[in-house]
Amino acid sequence: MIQFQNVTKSYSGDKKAVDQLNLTIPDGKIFGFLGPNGAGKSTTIKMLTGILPIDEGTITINSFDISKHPLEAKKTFGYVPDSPNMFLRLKGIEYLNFIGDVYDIPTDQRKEKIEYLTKEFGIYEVLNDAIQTYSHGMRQKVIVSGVLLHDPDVWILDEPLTGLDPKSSYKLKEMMREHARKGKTVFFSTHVLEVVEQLCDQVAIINNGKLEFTGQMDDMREKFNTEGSLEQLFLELTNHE
Amino acid sequence: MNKTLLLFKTMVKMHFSMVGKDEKFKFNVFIISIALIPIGIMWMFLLNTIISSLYLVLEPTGHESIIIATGLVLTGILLLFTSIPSILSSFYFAEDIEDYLAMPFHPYQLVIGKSLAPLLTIYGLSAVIIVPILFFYGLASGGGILFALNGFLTFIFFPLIPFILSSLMVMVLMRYANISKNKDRTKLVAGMFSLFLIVGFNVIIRLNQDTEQLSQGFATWVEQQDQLLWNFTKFLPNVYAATNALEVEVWWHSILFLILFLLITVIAMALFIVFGQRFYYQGVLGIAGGGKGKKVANIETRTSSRSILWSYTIKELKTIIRTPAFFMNCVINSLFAPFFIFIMMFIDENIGAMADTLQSIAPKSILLAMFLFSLFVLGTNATATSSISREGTNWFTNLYMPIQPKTILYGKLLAAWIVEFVSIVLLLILFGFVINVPIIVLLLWLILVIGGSWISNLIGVYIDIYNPKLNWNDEQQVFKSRFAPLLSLLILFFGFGTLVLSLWFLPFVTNVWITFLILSIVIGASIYFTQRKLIQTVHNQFMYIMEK
Repeated sequence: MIQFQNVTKSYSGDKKAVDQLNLTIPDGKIFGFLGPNGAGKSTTIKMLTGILPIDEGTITINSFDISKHPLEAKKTFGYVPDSPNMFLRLKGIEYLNFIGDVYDIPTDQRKEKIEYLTKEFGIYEVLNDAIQTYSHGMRQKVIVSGVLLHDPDVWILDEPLTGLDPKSSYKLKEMMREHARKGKTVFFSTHVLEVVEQLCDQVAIINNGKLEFTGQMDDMREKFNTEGSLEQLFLELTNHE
Repeated sequence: MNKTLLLFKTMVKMHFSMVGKDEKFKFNVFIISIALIPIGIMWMFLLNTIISSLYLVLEPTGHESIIIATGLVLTGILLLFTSIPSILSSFYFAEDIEDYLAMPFHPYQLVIGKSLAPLLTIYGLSAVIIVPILFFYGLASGGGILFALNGFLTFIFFPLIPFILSSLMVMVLMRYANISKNKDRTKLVAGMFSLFLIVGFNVIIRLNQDTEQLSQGFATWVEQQDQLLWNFTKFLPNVYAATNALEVEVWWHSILFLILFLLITVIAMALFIVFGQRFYYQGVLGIAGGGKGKKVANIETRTSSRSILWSYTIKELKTIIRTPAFFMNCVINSLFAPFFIFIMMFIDENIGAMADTLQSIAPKSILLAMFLFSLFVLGTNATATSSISREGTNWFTNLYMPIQPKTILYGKLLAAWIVEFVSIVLLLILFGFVINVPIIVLLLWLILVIGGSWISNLIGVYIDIYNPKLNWNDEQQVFKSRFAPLLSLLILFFGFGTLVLSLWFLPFVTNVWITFLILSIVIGASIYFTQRKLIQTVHNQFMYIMEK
């Protein structure tokens, strides 16, 4: 479970990127985090993952406070950033082994899992090449494989489906569903509203740093008294200034 | 032309976007400028001595203009070769190239825009060489307004031809080299090529040098080689025109050569544009594509477990070795000093005499001199001072993984220490086998320098944490326009330099063992305090590095 309590963040100046955010992401659910560009999604995810310091409020992941117990909190989640352009000089297999060392994955499990995951995503063949030579989608796949390798309770995925081919996209969505079915947490941000409609149990919409809505899809339709698509709802919500 | 200007202006803005906004940067510029004053004065003094004494000798024979010709030829050659890596990285390997390729620009417009970064380096280098040469020559020859005007125009237009020649070479080479597969190797080869040329150039100059009778010898040499030198200027035709333009005795003669000089430069610029239009796209397109060799990974042998610290250190070392800009600046450049001295020692016939002299010098003095010299070599190593900056915008990967900030710090320190150890081994061979330093002194030195290396890395990382350069779009930029390495060297040198000098002159420290003991205690204490301070800093600053 993830909990945001009165979380506020501002960059230089007075404008608050995130303002008094209160949000609970329960276990066993796929939680979609939506908002227009510049709404505060990335800032929220960066605070959640310990990349940005929090100005006010607390964030807990499986009851570990990310500010007070960063190491324990970080061990419980896996994070796929929006841009997979990292560790480019390492070979695919070297990156996965590095992740294995960081998350203390026993050698015998590691071999089996790396082989399974990378074969599923179709990158097994290129594991001996530097990540730099991979396409965007392949880089995304190796980062996702890294997260799945240490099998954390909480998945935090920032635009995880961008650049994936339909087969891999389908696989990842299946894996997300499976993870939630096991009673674990999936928190992901996306711009693709069709994916949210297909996949999410719950959604939150953030705009100008403030939470506009959180709840189940049906609640949202009910609240705004419309039978329209999520796209219409989204536009209506984020334009209500 | 408007679009070319627009492109150039945009690139200038992006290049200087951070300048002037950063108070720390301004402060560093101020401190470094003050620290560089003595070095600048020494350089000026040296040039003035050489030029004025040469002028005295050459003036009666009417060969004095050869001073300017030699200065320009040497600067031209230096610019020609040192600009290759910077041209290569700006024209072909900068991360933003792809963004511009998709825009409706002519190849020549992109090439002009992309010339900014290499030209800045070139003008910086020629400002410290050409300007003082012309100034002191002007003083010696009593040059007037016409000389000053021609001198100014020489400074503005002279560096363009070496730059254009290098660019043409690079563009033609890149047109035919299959670099999309060997992008990293191409960068590395170009870097090493420039470096070895500089070493070779130095060696040749040294071989021909008679230090005792520099002026007289040079004058005689010049008289013999006059024709050769003028022949040589054919490769850099603007040297001939510029030198004659700067001979201002007959004013119309000078003006005519000035026009010729400007004409040659304009023709070169036209050639640059034509070549750029013709060859640039053919070389740059396809750079972004990676070579994908389909090899099945041998998972069996590659899944081994390591401690986080060791795994992180290995990751750092692999990144340094596999990234050409990092490898050149962190590894190769640090080998340069010991390697260079090595060559000098072998060339110098007096090496036997030096080993004999060592026998009569007190072991204490040998140890102190070796230690200070090694600190200089280690202090110039850029591995520690770039340890945070090398991560660039990917620094965030250190923040979301469950790794203690302390572990990351030690991983970086350990990687820098291992890189420096290569220099230490080279120095050990140099001191032990070439100069034949007594074995006891050698062992004591080794212990001291291993500690010295650690402290130099602690200082380097400390400086980098406070002022990292994370927003770069080309790896080479990590090492450009940065004061961290110089600052680290100055701290190390002023701190330990004072100590070494005191020990050298203190009358009651005569024994090599006592010297060793004092140095060890000081190094140990410095390590203890700096490391404590660094860990505390990392603890406080770790989360805020991205926001700097």
